[in-house]
Amino acid sequence: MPIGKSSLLARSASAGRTDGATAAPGRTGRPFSERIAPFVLLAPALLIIVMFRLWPLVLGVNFSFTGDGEQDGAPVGLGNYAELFDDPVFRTALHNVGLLVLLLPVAVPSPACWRRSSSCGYPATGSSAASTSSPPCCRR
Amino acid sequence: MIIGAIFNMLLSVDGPLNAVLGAVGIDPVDWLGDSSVAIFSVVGVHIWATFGMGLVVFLSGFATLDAALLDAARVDGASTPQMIRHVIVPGLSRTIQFAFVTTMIGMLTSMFGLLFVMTSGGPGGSTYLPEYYIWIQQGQMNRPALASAASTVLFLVMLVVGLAQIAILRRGLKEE
Repeated sequence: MPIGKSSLLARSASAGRTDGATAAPGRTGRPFSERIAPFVLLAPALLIIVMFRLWPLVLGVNFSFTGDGEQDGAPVGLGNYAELFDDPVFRTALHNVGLLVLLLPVAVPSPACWRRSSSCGYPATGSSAASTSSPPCCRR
Repeated sequence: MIIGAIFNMLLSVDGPLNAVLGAVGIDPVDWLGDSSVAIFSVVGVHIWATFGMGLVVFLSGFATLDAALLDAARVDGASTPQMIRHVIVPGLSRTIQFAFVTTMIGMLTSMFGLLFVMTSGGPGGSTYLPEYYIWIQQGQMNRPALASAASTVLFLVMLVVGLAQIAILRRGLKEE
């Protein structure tokens, strides 16, 4: 984003120096190399993410449809998932995840409320503490 | 892991916490050996362990609140609960969303150490979480494909829970 903007600015400045009639700066007027620049600059990072994150994720999902042990590598369809949801231990694990979701409203506000009670419900930021208008902290 | 080892000692049946409870006349609780209590003990320790990070997130959120808005609300005669509900919470909506989602992901992915040290999934498998199950199936039971399926389920659960949280909080925290 900043690349596109700065190139647009540089372009319009140079266009203003020459005659504005021939080089009207616009989206279509920019050369191909400038329009493609953000994508080229993003490409290495995207390539690394795809190669080392997303592709292994796909491989892992694919691997989950194959068998273990004797039928190593043989496609078993949803067999692993059926076994998973038949396993009471895994059901307990999912049950515990539900418990975590329910406990989340306890876990998240605890730091916030601790801060609140220590500063009387008023966020004493640096600016408001320094401002001369009496900060209404700790008053009712 | 180290936190888990420390709390293992604190929470043991003849440990200091039960000694304190006994001093005020409460029967000792088997914090990590009771299948209905153990998961709450582990989650409590995890909340304690991640408290500092949550505090930093919320401190930075409070620092971005506009003091002028708070002063205006105070001048208009808003009571403290009204200010919290109508000024502070809407102003912190992005922070609260971030805290909810990161806390959920943290609970689902970084409690392995605590589980491993404190309960090893026991008693009776009552403190299993998907990540611990994945590790058991892959490393102990030699079932990599089953572990892979469990990972996929965990991924989908996290995706659904995270998106649902964002959607619910976006609707719930907006002012009007």
